[in-house]
Amino acid sequence: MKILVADDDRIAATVLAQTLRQWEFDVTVAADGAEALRHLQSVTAAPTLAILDWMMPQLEGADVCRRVRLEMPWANMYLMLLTSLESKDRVIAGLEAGADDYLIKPFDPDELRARINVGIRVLTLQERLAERVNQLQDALTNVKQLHGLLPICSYCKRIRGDDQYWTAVESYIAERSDAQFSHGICPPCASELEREIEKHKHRRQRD
Amino acid sequence: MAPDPLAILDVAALERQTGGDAGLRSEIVRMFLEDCPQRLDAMGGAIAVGDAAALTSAAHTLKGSAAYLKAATVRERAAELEGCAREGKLADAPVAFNRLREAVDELLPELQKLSR
Repeated sequence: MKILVADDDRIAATVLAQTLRQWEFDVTVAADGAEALRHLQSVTAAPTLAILDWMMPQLEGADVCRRVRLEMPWANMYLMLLTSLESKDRVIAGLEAGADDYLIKPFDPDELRARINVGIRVLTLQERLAERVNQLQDALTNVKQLHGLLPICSYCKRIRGDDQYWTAVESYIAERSDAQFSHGICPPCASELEREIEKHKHRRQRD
Repeated sequence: MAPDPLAILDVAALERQTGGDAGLRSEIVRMFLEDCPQRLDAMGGAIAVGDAAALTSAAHTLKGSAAYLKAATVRERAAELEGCAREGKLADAPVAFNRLREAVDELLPELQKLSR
């Protein structure tokens, strides 16, 4: 799991980053809000947890949360704000700006671990949901491809695709869905085939 | 009355904060000893020119660092100074600043002992 730590106080950033590294997280440190935002804008694909100090030069932690939610509404990011005990009344404003959680500075290691576990649970759940949506989207796309008017040869039953090539019906369906074919002979065709074979035998005996 | 040694620096709490990592403890003590004079200079300068924003920022950062080092008195007095600056009560700032400097003077020798 990647974790971004943003704090302009290098002591606070070092303690937090080193504690997270002791727990084997992949930690990046940003020295101010603008650097934190640039980092978050560059990692939109991966689930990311960020711990942002509220009071930082250039962009405050709450501003970073606001920009992330506005500019990357679909990014799978769990944002935690760090605030001092005296500023606890700003927690509501921070959550309304787009933060998922907050911590009081200096953090308590056990509480930090527990809150990070909550964040990981949320990120994992969101990632699984996104995967599921993608799978459903793919399935829907395939179903769509089998809709509509299909030109089929009345004699050989080949289907003409969008590329104008005629394809055997099994191949056409297999390419556009998860269906696979196992070949066999149905009872009416088996009877027909038997009759043909019998006719063929008679003809050979006559000749 | 003699100052409470735990209020100056609570070494056991610092040990817990750093997860028993002696290297991390030494590193943040070294950083504090390096940064503290600059922060105090910045605060003194901000008070001299009446720059409340710069004073708020410097006092806030020192407060945060002291909180991680478990230096309670320095943390409280930096918070007082930050409060003065944030509320624009710059007339109260010199007294609060002197109280903070006294607390820092008590803390630095304790940190130097730890860094040896």
